[in-house]
Amino acid sequence: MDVDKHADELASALGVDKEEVKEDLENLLQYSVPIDEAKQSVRRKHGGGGGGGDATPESLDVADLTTEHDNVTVTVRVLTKGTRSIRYQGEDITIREGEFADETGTVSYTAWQEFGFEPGDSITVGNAGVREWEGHPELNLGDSTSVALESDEVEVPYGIGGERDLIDLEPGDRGRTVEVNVVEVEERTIDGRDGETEILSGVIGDETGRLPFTDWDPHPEIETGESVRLADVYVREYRGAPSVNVSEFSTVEALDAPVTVTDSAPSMSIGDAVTAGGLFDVALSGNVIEVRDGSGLIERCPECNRAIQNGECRSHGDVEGVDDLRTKAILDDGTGTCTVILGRELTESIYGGDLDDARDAAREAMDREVVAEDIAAELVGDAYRARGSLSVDEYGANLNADAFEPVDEDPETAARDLLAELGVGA
Amino acid sequence: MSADGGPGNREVARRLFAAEFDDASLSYSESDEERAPNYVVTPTGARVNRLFAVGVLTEVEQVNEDSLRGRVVDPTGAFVTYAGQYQPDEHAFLNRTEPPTFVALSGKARTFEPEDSDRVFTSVRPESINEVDADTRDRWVVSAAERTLYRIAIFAEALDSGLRGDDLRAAFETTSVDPSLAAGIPKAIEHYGTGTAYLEAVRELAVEAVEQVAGERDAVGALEAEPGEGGPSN
Repeated sequence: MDVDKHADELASALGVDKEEVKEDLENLLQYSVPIDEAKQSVRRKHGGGGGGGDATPESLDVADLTTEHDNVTVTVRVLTKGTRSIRYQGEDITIREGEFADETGTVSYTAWQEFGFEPGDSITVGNAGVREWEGHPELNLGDSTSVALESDEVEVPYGIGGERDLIDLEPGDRGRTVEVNVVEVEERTIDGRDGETEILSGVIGDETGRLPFTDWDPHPEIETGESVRLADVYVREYRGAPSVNVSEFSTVEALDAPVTVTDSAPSMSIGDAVTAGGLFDVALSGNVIEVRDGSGLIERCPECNRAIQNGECRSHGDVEGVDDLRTKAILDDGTGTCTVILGRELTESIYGGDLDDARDAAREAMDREVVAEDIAAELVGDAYRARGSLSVDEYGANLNADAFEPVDEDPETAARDLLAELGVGA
Repeated sequence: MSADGGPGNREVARRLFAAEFDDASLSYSESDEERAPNYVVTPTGARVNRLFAVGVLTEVEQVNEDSLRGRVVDPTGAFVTYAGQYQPDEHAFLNRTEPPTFVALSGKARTFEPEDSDRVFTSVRPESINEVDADTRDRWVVSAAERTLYRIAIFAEALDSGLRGDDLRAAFETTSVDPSLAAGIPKAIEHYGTGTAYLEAVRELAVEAVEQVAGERDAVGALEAEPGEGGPSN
């Protein structure tokens, strides 16, 4: 029997001295303990694995992990690590989350205690549980898991560390670090899980985009106009778009060099934007192909400001409606479709008149619909570019527009560009 | 103003040229339910529930007491649209508009097969029609060409793959190909046996239409190829 080989394997899995492991193994083997039992025993002695299972956890490449596995051992590089507090069965628990990788792939993890590894470390994780999260395997590092530092670096074709541009953040990201300018911030009092809590909320931006943020443990460095580095933040979905969360575990540092915030929103096809599942600040172009019901001269509930029909609010019953102007236009570029919602100001500029003009027109025609008809006659068919916040949920894809203007690109130029791209003509 | 599409999964308005829409003869519904969407599948695999076209309104005719028929002409042919009593706004628009006028038309794709004929006609049941300008028409030509060229490229890859039917659809699902094309292309191959000669003819049509907008050409040639020419089943 090759005790050396088994000792090597164990020592590296456990991160302890090989000679010591070999001695322990040989000692047990003298008593004719089967090698698998002996290894389990040594593993347990050194704080590894041994959650009572009778099988050695499988040693796997990350790409081969499936949700069918129960317990596994992997040798990986730590890509990211984020800290978060969660309430689990009435108790506050601090967990670490992030991604591991080897050369075959990446996998998310949740560690229920501090194992001490940091991004960039190469480690062997022994006896990690496998659970399913949104159809993908995820590693669960608990009491029975061992983590051993490897001296040989695990080479990975992935970036190490959580530094990202805002455009690359997605809901579910943990342990991210961003350098941003605080575009706007306000203090708010919310009724949180521990009663009234002060928080900060607002908008941050960098050269790639803007996102809303919440600071659950207000950091004084976060002030309007200041540039800051936010380390160890996590990303959640808020109204269909990513939102950055700063917590008590985040480090906030003021930056000397100011971060420039982009003036323009990222442009993409409507199909891609809708598939992305919501974007805080995006520019979409397409044709207005319809103006939906609920546009034009509408009435809102004086209590809740929601649009009402026939003087009846869904929450407040019969109310005295307050007039307003609004447009809900279907914008479609052939790859996707969304409803662009234009508030009073943008609607007035399309309509070419204010609320009083609209009321006069409705009175004269004895029909409020004439306002929406005029707006439709102005918009339908033409190409527009809308910028704002896109949400995608059970109510469909809706863009709350801050800006809305006709596409003024010369079609002849667009045609020449397309031909050049195809390699035909000029 | 037309009926509200409501929230949720609104059908995207597809862009395609009239000549290709005119060649379509397949329509189907995803299920037997009354409200299940109906689709027209074109020879290059566009699966069209709703379409958006911009062209010149050249004629308006009274077809019967209630209905008007309008022809909306793009550089390749004509979209035919019928507005009846259930499309009062569109009916009124056609009634008052003096051709020729640039118009934008969006609506539902339909096929119709007269009892005494083996030809299938396509038409558009309008959801909105509005007057637009020449630039809007030209921009539409460029976007219809873009969508058409993208579709043909995917179709050609599908032909090359040798996969058909459900296998092809399954293969598409592992890629980023638009789900509507993933459904439409296998059906088009099965129904039309669309071949490379037709794909090339539609490609040429699209390029010529763009060249016309770019000021490099006066007219676009006719689409004379039949979908099945050079097809996998020939």
